[in-house]
Amino acid sequence: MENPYLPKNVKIEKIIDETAGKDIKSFVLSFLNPQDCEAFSYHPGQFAEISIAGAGEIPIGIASSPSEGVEVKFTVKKMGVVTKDLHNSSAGRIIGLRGPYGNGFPMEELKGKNIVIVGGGFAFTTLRSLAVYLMDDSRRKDYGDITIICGARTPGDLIYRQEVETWASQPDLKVQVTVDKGNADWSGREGFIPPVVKEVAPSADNAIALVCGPPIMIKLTIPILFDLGFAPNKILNSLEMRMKCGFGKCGRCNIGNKYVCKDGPVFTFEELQKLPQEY
Amino acid sequence: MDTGIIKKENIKGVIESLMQMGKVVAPTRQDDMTVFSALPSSEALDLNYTNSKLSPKDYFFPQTEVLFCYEKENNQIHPPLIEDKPACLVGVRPCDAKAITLLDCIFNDPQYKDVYYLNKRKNTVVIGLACTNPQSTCFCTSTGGGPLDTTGMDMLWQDLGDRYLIKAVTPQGKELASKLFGIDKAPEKDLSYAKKQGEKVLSMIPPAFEAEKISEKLRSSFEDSVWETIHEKCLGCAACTFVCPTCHCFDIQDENSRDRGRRVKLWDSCMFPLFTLHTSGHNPRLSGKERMRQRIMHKFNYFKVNNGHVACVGCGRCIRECPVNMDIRQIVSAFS
Amino acid sequence: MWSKEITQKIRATAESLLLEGKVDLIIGYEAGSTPLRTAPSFVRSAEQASLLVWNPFCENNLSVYLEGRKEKVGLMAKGCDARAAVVALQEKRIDRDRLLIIGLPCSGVVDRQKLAASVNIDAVKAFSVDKDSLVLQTEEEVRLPLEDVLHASCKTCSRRNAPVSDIFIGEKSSEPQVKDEFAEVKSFEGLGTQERWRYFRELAQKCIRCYACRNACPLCYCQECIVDQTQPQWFGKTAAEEDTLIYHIIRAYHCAGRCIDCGACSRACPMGIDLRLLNKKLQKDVQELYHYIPGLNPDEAPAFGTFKLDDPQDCITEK
Repeated sequence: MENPYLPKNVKIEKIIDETAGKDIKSFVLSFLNPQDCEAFSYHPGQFAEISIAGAGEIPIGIASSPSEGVEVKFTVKKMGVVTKDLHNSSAGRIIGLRGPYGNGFPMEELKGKNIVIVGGGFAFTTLRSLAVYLMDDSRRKDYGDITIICGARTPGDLIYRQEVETWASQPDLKVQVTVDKGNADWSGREGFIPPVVKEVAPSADNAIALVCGPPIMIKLTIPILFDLGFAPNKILNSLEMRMKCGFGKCGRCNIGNKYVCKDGPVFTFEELQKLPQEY
Repeated sequence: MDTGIIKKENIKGVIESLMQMGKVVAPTRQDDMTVFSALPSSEALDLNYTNSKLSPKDYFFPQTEVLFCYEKENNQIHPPLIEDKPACLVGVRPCDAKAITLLDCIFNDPQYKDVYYLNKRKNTVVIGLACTNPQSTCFCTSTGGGPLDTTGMDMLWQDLGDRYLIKAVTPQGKELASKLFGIDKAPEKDLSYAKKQGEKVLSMIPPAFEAEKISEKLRSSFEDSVWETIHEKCLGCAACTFVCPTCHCFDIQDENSRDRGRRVKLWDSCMFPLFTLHTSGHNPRLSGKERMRQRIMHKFNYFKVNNGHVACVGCGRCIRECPVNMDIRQIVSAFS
Repeated sequence: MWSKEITQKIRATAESLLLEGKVDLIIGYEAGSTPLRTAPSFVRSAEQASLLVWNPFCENNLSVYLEGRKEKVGLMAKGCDARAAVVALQEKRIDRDRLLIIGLPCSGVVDRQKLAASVNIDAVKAFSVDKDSLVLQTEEEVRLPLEDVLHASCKTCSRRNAPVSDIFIGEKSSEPQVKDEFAEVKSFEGLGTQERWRYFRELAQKCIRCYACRNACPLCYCQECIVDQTQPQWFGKTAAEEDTLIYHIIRAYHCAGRCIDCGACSRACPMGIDLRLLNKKLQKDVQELYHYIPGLNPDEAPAFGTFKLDDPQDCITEK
């Protein structure tokens, strides 16, 4: 019987500072054992437990796309015990990983649809995974128009900034980047995400919107999407909850009869309307 | 069902034979309370108890369980040796035996198996003990149980004074019974006496509420004003959840000693604010109101929706041990 | 004294206090769900006043519910409830203007564990108090001297009446002559190291870390208890002996000079651990070192909130 509590060892191949404040870093990990690598088969929207012996475990959304190869990327904000420990790492360090967990984005359902991605701040990580996955040459034709609206508080807080800038120049993508407050070297858009969504007004025809970000951003974006004609079951969110096991046992992320780790973290807005507002 | 009889004077011998086959976990007396523990000798067995202080869930799902040991250097994990020896749980009350089947729903779900729990579970024979002397806090009849309920047992023993009536419930129970004392059909006289006794005890536990109805009612009661006040006296400790035979929420912690340590799984409680506190400081269940509601909703609605049975077996421990007399019967009855 | 008349007076007083708007809330006791229990009661309307009861099973320390309330509260107070409120007042955790102390004549509360040792609690259908006896209705009537089943904290209590009260209901209880409040502590102090260590180990082994003791305690007020801190996490969270013990020792020290020995922690413990001994020992030390008895006067500075030049200093300097 497979022991689901045992992490598999991975090596930190690369650490990338994502923000000017240096409190958000990406960690590129590779499995030490090829079998573990093979077993770790994931799709966008899923998460895994990063495990550091002596510090503990944290559930983190997967920021890489399986189309990028065998390395797995996580973008982590320095917050608590484990993330601080992780941030203090250097490349080459061996840590643990177990997963992938969660339902992830409904990739089959997204096929043939126009995709609207709305991501605020640091919550953009799993949406990055999705965007990269959708843009993969072998798959791009399976999806319709792709609109990406993302933003952060300041230009320095924009994660994956360079990468997003290259996307902006791609003809088959519509990309809008905004910051709440610009600075001297920011020539882009200024303003909160919800009004930008209103302005860009992506069509709801045959479209699915995926929205991740701070609660207030989500709260203000949803009515705009409704106005644009998106039905509650065509809007997807990814929830965050305190978790321990990651596979529906420890009970911590239970909301209503759902476990965010197992039944989520991705829920349609329609599903969320039926759940208690306890997240 | 195959039945048999053992005289009480022969119980000691039966326990000794069981002990030769493996570990025997059974009620023992410690100070003023009865607790389940591995019997050091047959003498330690105490079957004259009403109910144990803590439920035997502790055997399958210990308060503290080492998941593995590690060395911090290079994240070296030393997987544990998971115990794989036969054991026997003796003297389990029907409520507690049933609770084990509810724990199975969580730890033996089809997708992820908790190997620590399941290894013990599959190697353990459960011998139940029918209730003869229910307590004022017992309400198993409200949650689909009863003093002779055999759910979760391999064998049931029923106290008939100077003897026990034995019922083999599962093939494993039957096999063990035939090995230990032979089993076929108990004398008619004993069977009818046992039946009468069972009915008498059943009548001593009048149903306090209808679980099915309450479960359904709770579905639409999340915003009910009852929650505003019903938690007011609750102190927010975990006495209720820790003594509960079905509560199964846990925490995972790393415990270090210099450059090495152990990762442990330990009981946790939805009644603690820390249970849902995010690192950011955000807490989705901020006050006692939300936490009490979660505990009740999880037991009587969410768990039922997911697993077909309420996560309560009516053992009444939470009522007995609550420092402020929170009575779960009264709480759920507020929704009847 | 435990009597039906007191219960009647309590109800009448609560009713008029609420009707006259002198308080918004009465915190008292109501009948529990089983015969030998009461439960804390929150009475907000005159009609609810008839819920209130007064009997030897009023075992909780109701001061635990005082903090953080915006309402004006009338507190039904045994000596120990009132003393815990006094400590809270001294520590500025509650506001005197929003507290009305309703003193009640306590005669000590019953230790249910002790009672269970002499009678089958589950067979009891009703009880009454007849002078100094507890009368239990089982299949036959059982009479027990109340004295024999009182909680240990009540056996050493000589402050059964609230030292501070705005209203007092009934006649004050006569204060018992306690021969030596610290007799148990002294005999514990007389034990050898090994035996004392055994007490600590047994305490730790029984504990299931449910924190009923902490949460039932009217003095435990930390916004974030040391056991719940994660950055840093000071000690382990399992039921391992060493971690459990450190929790109890820290809690006892945090309550030193403040603990009024109400015994609520012991009565709350589902595992029947005698937590009082540790607190009592510290109570004795504070009394001997600083001549201080907590919870008597809200205007007095608490033992560890004041410094006197003649305070003994050997506890803070190395010998």
